[in-house]
Amino acid sequence: MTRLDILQGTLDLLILRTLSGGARHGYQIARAIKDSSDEMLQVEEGALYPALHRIEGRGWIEASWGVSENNRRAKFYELTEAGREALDAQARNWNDYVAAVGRVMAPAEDAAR
Amino acid sequence: MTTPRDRRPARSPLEGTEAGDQARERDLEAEIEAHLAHRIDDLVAEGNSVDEATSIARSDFGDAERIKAESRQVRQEHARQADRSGAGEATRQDLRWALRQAMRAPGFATTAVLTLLLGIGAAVTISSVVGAVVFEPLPFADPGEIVFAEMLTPEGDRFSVSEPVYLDWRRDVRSFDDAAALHILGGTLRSPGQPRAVSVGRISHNLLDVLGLTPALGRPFAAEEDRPGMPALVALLSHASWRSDFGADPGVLGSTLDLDGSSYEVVGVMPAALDVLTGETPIFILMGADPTYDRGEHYLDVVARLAPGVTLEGAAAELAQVQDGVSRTHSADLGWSTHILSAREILIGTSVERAGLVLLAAALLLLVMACVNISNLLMVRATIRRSEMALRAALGASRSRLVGQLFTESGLLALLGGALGILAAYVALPVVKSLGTARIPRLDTATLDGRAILVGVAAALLATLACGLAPVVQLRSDRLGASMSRGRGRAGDAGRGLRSVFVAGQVALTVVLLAGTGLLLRSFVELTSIDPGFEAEGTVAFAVNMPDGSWDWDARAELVPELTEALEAIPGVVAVGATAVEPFSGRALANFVAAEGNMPDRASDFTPIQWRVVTPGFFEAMGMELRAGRSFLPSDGWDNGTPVVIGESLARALWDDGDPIGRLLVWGDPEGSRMTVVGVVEDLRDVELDEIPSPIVYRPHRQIPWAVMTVILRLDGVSPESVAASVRSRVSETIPGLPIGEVTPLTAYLDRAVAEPRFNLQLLSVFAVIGLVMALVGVYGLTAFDVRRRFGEIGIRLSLGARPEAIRSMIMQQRMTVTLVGLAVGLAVAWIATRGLGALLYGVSPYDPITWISVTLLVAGASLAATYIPARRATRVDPREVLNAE
Repeated sequence: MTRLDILQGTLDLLILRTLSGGARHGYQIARAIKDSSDEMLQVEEGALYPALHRIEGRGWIEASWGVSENNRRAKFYELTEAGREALDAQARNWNDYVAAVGRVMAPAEDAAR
Repeated sequence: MTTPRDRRPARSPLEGTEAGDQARERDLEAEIEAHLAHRIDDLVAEGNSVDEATSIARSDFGDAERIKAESRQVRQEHARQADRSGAGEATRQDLRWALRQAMRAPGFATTAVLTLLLGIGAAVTISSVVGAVVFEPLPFADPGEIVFAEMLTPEGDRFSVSEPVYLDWRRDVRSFDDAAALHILGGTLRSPGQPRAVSVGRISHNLLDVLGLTPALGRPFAAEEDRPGMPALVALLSHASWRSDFGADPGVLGSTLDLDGSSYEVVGVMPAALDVLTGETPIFILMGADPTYDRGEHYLDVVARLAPGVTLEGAAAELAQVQDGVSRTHSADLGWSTHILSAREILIGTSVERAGLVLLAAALLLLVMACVNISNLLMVRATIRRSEMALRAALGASRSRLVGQLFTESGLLALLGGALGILAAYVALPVVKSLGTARIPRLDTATLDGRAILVGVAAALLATLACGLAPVVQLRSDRLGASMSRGRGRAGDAGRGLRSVFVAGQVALTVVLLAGTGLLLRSFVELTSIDPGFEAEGTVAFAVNMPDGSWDWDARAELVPELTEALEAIPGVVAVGATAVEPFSGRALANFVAAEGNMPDRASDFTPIQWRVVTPGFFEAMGMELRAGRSFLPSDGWDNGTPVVIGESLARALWDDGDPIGRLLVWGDPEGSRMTVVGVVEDLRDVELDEIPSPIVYRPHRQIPWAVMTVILRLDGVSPESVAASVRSRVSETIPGLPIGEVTPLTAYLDRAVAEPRFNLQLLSVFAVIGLVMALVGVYGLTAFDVRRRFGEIGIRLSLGARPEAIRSMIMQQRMTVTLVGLAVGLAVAWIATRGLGALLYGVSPYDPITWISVTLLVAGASLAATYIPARRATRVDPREVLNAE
């Protein structure tokens, strides 16, 4: 796996997770990810929008234009049923992945001590 | 958490189209702008100035173009994936869409399906009928080689053959591989059970051979059994009789039947294929053709098979030659010539063939009209959905998809209409078969076989193509851009021209159908209004047969008058008479006579006549008028100069100068008996209605006590049904053991004569009526649509002060112009087409003015009404309502 791929896969997950709390527009999603990661994850807009469109194409999220909290027109995204299922699956995948990597990394740490 | 308000779905039906792409681009740009705007808001809230916030936001955002490019790529990837699964999806979508459209407009769908049902149903029914009656080959081996040989009287009339002549032909004519003879007459079957009057077929032993058929059971007749004058007493049963009377029991072989007092052994059963030649004749015996028999007695049908390589013309030439040689030896044959016809011509007949083709053409015409009607309907609907179509087309929905859509719609209709049409044919066929009486040969064999179903399927396919094509053509020619603008009435309706052509075409086709029907109707009326020379109303008739085996000459001469008396005693019976020739049975008696004192030297120059053996009450029973002299007395026999009564046309022919009463008639040839004319009656047509009545000589029963007679009773004040039982009981009292046939009114016999023209007329008139209805629906629908479409224009005109009647006239004028053009074209085409009807018409020329004028008035008048009714609605338009809707 190339770095870009991993990044893409993670970003999808982050987006889905963010939307599990309710519908948001693009800027709000970026803000939410930044805020809830204590500014450790900063999504580049260049990556965000293609990701959103890709996820939308897969049918995991639905888009509709609406009016934002600033009284501006904005395009809101919302999780679909399929999206919720995808989120669960991807979250599990992620946890398994983290655990697996952790197991691999652990002996090296022991060795490094 | 903010909740979005006023949501509108962002996904559009333009997905995947080029315009859709542009929309997506704009969407993305808007989204990006929104993003930036929100960022700027936040930055401003943090304390930056608007300009600072703007520049920070933009630089942080990154390369917008790259984002758009990436998004575009993602989109394309998805589009490609979607396309692959889209092809089948498209058809399914089309189908669902077509179904929904149909259900949304049930009126339209019902009309369309009904129209197709009629068109396809008619086509399938008629092709089944015509296929069985006309096109099905005769059930003989190599039917093209089978011919009928007849004689022609010196006058040129077609006539039967005598036994000696048949034998001469069989021996001498090399062009015939073999020749067989057939003679159908009446007989009494004594067993099994009750005595029955039946038809008996006297055949030469080789009939089955000549036809290339073999018995269904048992064996055929053998040559040695066919002894001249003394044939073996063996019989063959017809297939139908074996099934119905003997229960298809193979044990029937070897049993004996009592026919006319003689015992016949059943040796076999005929194949069913023979029925096309012999009809319902249930029993066949050997003829034993005798070369010494009277050459002047012509009653045989001769069937022959041509030798290999011989043509009809070649055989006719040789036959004429042979007959020429024969007649030099036998004076009785002088002046007679020969005639050969193919079996097809005799058994199927050119008039039936012609009629079949006419009906087929009419059915096809009807199908075309149905397609035109539906095309029109579809085009109208396409116009209504024009804006939708235009949008889809302009936004890049491929032409093939739109075409596919339209074809799916018409295909769905055609499928339904076709299936229902075949079902309708299933129902209609038995009805049609019951219309045609026994005079339409092989009609009873018509079924909905594979061929007929194939016609139905082909018709449905044709309908799909034809009906789908028109809206597509219209779509092409529509200037779609213009149709997208608001304000309906003003856009150019390019499909209108095509629709008008279609309506004109429909009117034209209807005119053709109506003209043909009208002519046939007039012909039929002429035929049925011919005075047959007798009163068919208020009579009953039945057949009796007293064959030589059971009653002799004298017995018959005594019994018949007794029977007449007994029948006259039945209350309600006014007169009773009998004749040797059953009316309209197609069979008759013929001979030659001359006037004494003006007699030609040679028999061949004698006047050909028909003759009848009748009882004294005959003329009264038939309602025939006496023109001069008297009718027969019960005592009239051979004494007193051998009295005869003659028809008036014979009287005129032989003695145009004076009174025929008391004059002498010479019978047959210069040495023949002399007979005295005692009476003259009106002319009688009892063989074929459309013939000129032949000269007839009537001879009293006492002179020639004929065995087979048709007895006729004239009734007064009682119905035929009520008399039937009394008739039977009187007959069995007076002449025990004498079976009689059905007791039916003479009108039934008369009906037989017009059976075929009536059948044609009934079918064709059904087509014409359906065609007219379809055409009127077309005219009506189009006018109604026109009015609706021009609501806006009409509203404006009305509000500007135009009078409603003027608007109505304007619309009617426009529509009627189309109709009149169709009328003119139709008349022209029908003029040419109906010339082909010539042979089927009687007493009416194809240019009969009454028919043409009536048809023109009918179509013009009906179209006028069909235009008027919807046009009237135009005057009811409320201008305010219309203008508001704009």
